[in-house]
Amino acid sequence: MENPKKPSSLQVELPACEATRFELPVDSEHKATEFRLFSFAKPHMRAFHLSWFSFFCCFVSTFAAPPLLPVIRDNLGLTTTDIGNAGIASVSGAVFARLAMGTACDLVGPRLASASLILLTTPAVYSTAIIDSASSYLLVRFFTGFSIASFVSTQFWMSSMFSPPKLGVANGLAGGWGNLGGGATQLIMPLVYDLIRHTGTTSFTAWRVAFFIPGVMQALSAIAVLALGQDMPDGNYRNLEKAGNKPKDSFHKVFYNGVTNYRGWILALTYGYCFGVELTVDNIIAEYFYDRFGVNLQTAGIIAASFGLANIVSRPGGGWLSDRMSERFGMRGRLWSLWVVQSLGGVLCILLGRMDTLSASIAVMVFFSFFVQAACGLTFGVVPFVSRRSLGLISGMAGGGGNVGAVITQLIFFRGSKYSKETGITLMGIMILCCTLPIMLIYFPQWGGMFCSPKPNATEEVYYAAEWNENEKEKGYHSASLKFAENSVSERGKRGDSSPTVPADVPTQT
Amino acid sequence: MGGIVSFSATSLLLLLLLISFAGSAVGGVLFSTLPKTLIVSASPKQGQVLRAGEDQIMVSWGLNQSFPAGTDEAYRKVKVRLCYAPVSQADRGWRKTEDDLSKDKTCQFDVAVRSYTTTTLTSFECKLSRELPTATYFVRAYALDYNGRVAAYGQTTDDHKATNLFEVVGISGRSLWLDIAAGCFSGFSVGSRVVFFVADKRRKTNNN
Repeated sequence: MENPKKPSSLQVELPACEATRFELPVDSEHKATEFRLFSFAKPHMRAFHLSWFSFFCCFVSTFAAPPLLPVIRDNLGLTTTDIGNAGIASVSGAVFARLAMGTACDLVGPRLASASLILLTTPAVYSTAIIDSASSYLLVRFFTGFSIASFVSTQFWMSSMFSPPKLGVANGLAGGWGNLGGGATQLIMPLVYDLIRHTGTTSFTAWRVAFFIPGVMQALSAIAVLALGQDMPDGNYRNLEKAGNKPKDSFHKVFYNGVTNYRGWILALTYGYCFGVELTVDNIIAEYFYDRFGVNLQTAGIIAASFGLANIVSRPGGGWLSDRMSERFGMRGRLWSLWVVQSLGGVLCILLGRMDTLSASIAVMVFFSFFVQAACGLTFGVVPFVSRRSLGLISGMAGGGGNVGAVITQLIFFRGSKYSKETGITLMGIMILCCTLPIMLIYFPQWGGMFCSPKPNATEEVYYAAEWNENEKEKGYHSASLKFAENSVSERGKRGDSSPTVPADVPTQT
Repeated sequence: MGGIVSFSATSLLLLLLLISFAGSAVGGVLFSTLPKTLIVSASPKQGQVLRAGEDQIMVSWGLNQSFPAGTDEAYRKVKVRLCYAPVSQADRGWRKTEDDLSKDKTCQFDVAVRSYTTTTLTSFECKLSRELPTATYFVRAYALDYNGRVAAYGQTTDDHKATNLFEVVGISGRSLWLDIAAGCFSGFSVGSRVVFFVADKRRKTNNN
């Protein structure tokens, strides 16, 4: 995964005192240009580990109920409809929460935004231990599901800490290892439940006690974020704003700038058909294997877990692929690889529904999981470049779009008995193919699109500076955007200019 | 990329190994072929509500004397089970009735397993397990032959499973300690956020 260290002409030489402040080599924005997985170096790698682990805990909590459903459904007298509704509720809360998270990150920073969200949703996890009806079950799953909006803060945080050449890998690993929680929980919860049962507790009490584990994990991870994390390489938003290094932005401007960027909407749609599909499959796959092939519950759980566990490598693999394609082909490479991988995921999904034997189904499912999760990683190789001013909101739109996709797909294909599960899966594959086509419409003037080459005189500075009006530019508010623009020249690929374009009218920053 | 391919190959292999150890579904006896030669009765009356973990029921079974002598030659064991009534099976696929007994999920709880004796009536008292969910039930007894295969049955209700049904109310599984713990842990989560908020503000004013 390590790039051979090419001395990038983009990396403006830093004065010696500044450069030695960080353990990792950094660019002009102090974002790390290297990614060292096994390091906890402050602030970059530490931010990475804090963000992926807290997000992992949120996924564990959100999907903690499905593996214990055989016990919960008898305790609460749930029907199949109740269970289906709660499954939809668990992913629908995060639709708006992810949008709100995006804006919150833009305004108060990822450290406060994610830790607050996580700590405030932890009571919902503990409350799962004291519910006694179908409606209370739906409510706790709904509120617990809000926590996976912390996805947006992980992507935002990584975009603040890592330089464009390493962004795909950082985003992919943080997102992938977090999503891993959806698979890990299918193994963790039954294990914890079994251990508690061995102490002689009845099943209807044991599952309740088991929920304290994800709750405590979640709370502790958020506290670690607050205690050990910082928003940007140079410090926290609050301190930077006070020192005048970071102007405080306005919610309305950030919002307007974000929602008027059509690329954000396209990525929201396409993310709905890779991540949304992943969430849907997390909710239905165990039952699918259990019902269609008659495997027992433990085996169905292991198969379900393996779908989510593929995230260890698949999503980061997508991010890595995005970065490699960008090295050679720039942004066009990122877009092409996203379209190809996600479309292949759609084809495999169609096949999955058509497989009649258990072993063929598992084989196709494994490949399907790799492609669909890699597509998630590839999507967030593109998202950070759509906007600099409204980075959080765009991340939130895409992230929220993922959940919308899950809600819509479950509503159309997996609720009630209109379609058999296998037909639903095949139709979901067709929908993936259709909803991936809009990637062809994404165009960056300075980098091009899938089928169109870039405009000859378009620059990154013009694109990112256009997010600010003349007044704001005069006050120098857009200086961070310009630094980002400089560093993003790498998205031109191998044919890119070798000299960084430093605009003449920007006062040099100390 | 090579790492990804080898990982997927290994995981696939592991899964296939696991699957091969999972029990294969062997076709079982069909319920519709079973003769109803046993008479079964249980103490709960129609519509009675019992509490799991507290109440007891008395179940009796014996051969229906209207059948010719020798019908029960092969019977060796009797397995008595609590079964879900149709109203508790509605919209719950995991309690579905299937004709193939190896796939049937109607009767999920054992009341008693006893050797079959050719006396007129055998009775057994049993305490309702704490694991029973809230539902409507009836009682069914299966007669097993030397091979453990089901040879006959009898049940407390009629063929439509509409008469003589009783309700059991399951335990909630909740307790005061759980409620208190949930409250305390939740308070701690929200409280820690407040603590950090105050600490951050203090640090800010100190830096002024």
